[in-house]
Amino acid sequence: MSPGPSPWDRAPAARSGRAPAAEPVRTMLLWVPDWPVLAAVADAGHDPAHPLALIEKGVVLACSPAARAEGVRRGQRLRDAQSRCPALRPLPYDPGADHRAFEPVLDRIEAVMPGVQAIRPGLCALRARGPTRFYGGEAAAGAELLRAVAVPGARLGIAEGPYTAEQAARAAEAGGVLAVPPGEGAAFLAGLPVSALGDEELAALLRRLGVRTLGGFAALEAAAVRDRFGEAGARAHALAAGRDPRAVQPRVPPPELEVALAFEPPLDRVDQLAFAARQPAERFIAGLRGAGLACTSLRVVIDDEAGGRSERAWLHPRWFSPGDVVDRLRWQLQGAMRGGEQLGAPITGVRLVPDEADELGNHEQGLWGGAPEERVHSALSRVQSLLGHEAVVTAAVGGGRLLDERRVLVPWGEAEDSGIRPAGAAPGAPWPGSLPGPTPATVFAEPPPVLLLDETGEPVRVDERGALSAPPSLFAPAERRATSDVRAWAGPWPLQQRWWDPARHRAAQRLQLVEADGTAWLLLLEEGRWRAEGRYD
Amino acid sequence: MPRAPRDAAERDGAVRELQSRISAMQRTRIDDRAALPTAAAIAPALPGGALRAGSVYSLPEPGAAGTLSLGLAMLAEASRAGLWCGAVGLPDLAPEAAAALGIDLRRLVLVPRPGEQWLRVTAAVADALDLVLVHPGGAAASSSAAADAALGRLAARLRERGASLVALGAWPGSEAVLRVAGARWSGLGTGHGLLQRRELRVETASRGGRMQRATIVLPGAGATASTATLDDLGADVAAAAREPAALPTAGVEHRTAAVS
Repeated sequence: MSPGPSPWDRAPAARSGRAPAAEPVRTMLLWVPDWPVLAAVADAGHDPAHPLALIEKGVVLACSPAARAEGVRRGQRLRDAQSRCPALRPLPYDPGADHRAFEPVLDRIEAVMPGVQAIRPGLCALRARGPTRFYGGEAAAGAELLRAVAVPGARLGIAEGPYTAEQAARAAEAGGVLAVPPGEGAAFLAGLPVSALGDEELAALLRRLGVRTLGGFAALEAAAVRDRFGEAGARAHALAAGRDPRAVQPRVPPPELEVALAFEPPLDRVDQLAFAARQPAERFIAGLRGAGLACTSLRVVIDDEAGGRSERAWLHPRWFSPGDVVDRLRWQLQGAMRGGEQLGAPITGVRLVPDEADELGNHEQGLWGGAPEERVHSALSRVQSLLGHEAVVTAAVGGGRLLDERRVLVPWGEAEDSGIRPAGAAPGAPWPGSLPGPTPATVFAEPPPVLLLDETGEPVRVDERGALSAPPSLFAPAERRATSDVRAWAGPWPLQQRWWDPARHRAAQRLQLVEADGTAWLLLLEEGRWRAEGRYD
Repeated sequence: MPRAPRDAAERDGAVRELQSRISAMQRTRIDDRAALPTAAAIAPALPGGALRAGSVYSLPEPGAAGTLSLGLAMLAEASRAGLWCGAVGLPDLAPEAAAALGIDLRRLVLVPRPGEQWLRVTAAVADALDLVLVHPGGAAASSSAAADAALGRLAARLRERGASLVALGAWPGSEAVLRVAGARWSGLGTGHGLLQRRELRVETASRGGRMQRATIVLPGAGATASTATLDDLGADVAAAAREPAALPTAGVEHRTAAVS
């Protein structure tokens, strides 16, 4: 009989008809404490020394060491956490940013040791055998790994099975390696409390049964544990005994699709950048095409010398061609530099990241060329490259009482519901106070002042009870000096907007009139001044 | 020289008969060129009763009563039929009014502020869209040789593509010059009511010098029209009709070329 787990121990697995559990694999496990916080700090540039907490569904998901020192704990409600640490800065948890930030760490590991399994952001495992042999010992391999990762506070555990290795990593010092010698996994785990199983319900039950350590739990008879706690309990029992049946499943490194450009010396002119980006953009699209993908959403990240960063996601109604990529880069630069040909600071780097990619087959052109929409799109893209991205728009009718609020303009090529329309501003919803009847063809984005006079030449006013001081008789837009007779009019109609919000509150009176030449106007009286909201021309 | 009304009526009748015989003998007439879908309400105001593909219609500047609505109404039927429309140089255009007149906003493209490059933009947009409302904004008036050449190229491109422009402002070589001679609103009283519909009296001077008058009701269907000869109308409209036609255009040659 070979040393190690006896056949008796394996019996339950055999009895239940599963394949017998394999020998636990010697595993290296890297753990970065508070990874979500580190990722958020790196992503949004917060001060790591400040007490931070990542909040998901009103509960603390992770917190910075400063916050932990104040008593903030994972799983606390935000309110409780804030009562313990009033200076706490709550941040919304963004799993995407979390994964995105961990990806370079995995890449760095893969550069020195193949076969990484990402368990979750901040936690990854490798088989220990290869690196150990290559670097001549576990300690040397572990040190090499930590050096390659280059994340402060990362810890490495080496043991049989990922679970034991994770416990070893948690027991290791910050920036250190803890290797549990082969065969001593169960002894290492024996001293840990049952809460280390990560199953709070089971741990509470075990504590009530008088089992306080993993050693105590592992000493229980496997068949009895299965009978009492079921499959999950049996699995926890195997973990507690240092017999983690899981093996490391190395990930297949995804193809490198994003393209990064570094400029040395930094470039400060848009045309230089656009020129420099042309070939990389072609490489970027060719790389995607080689993977059978078409990019439908692109993220362009621009870094400048002064440490500034401009990041923006661009959508495309079909898919990006190299020219489109360069256009987006140029528009983003033009938006970032605010007038003039010079940027705020010279640009040191540009990254093109495919945010969303789709199977190329879904975007295949028809045999006889594309739809007429394609022709429209290419022409409009040309205009956009001439005037800028926001210069070509499609329109939609939004919700609101004021006519300008009902006009929603979306740059060509962007999805209409990309957060431009404020939440709840549905055009179909009832908007008490909105204008019935035909709408003016001209709605002024900045209402021009107008003159509205009564018969005696006095400006028409509206009193507190909503009555006109006198019937309007003469009217003139400000840009036209001569007044004309008011032929017909109606109003005033009161308009109250968001009376509960002092910052966005608007109180106005509306009035319709037709002047002598048959032009009708919609006027708005606000703060004692008449303005033209729209013109029926 | 006073003339008996009976003679005048006879002469008009003769002219009309001759015109109809001439047009019957021409194999390719302007009516044969593809007509864009045109709303029935607008048709009486247009020469030939429809928007011609590949031509330019000139309207007064926005701000005059009913102009912009008339321009939008000219796009509406084409948009409803699935064609793409555009509006260049109209930053204050209300999409809601466009939608109310029947324009499909999903196929309406706006370039609100083309700035100095409006002609290039219009040319690029007209390359892809079928019907474009364009507001030159005084820039067209400052005609230079280069601008004239660019306009000529644009006109040729429009004819080749079969796209039409509705220009809000003077445009040399336009197919017809429309003018709103009067607008009357109904629904609004003095101190009561609400604007409901309007009647626009539209006078159209076509390139050949023919004048048309039509009454268009917006919004809504139904229009009455009357056709009159040139000397029935005021001299200013007649002059407006003659002036653009006097400029060199390729349109006339194109038609004669198509005959042979």
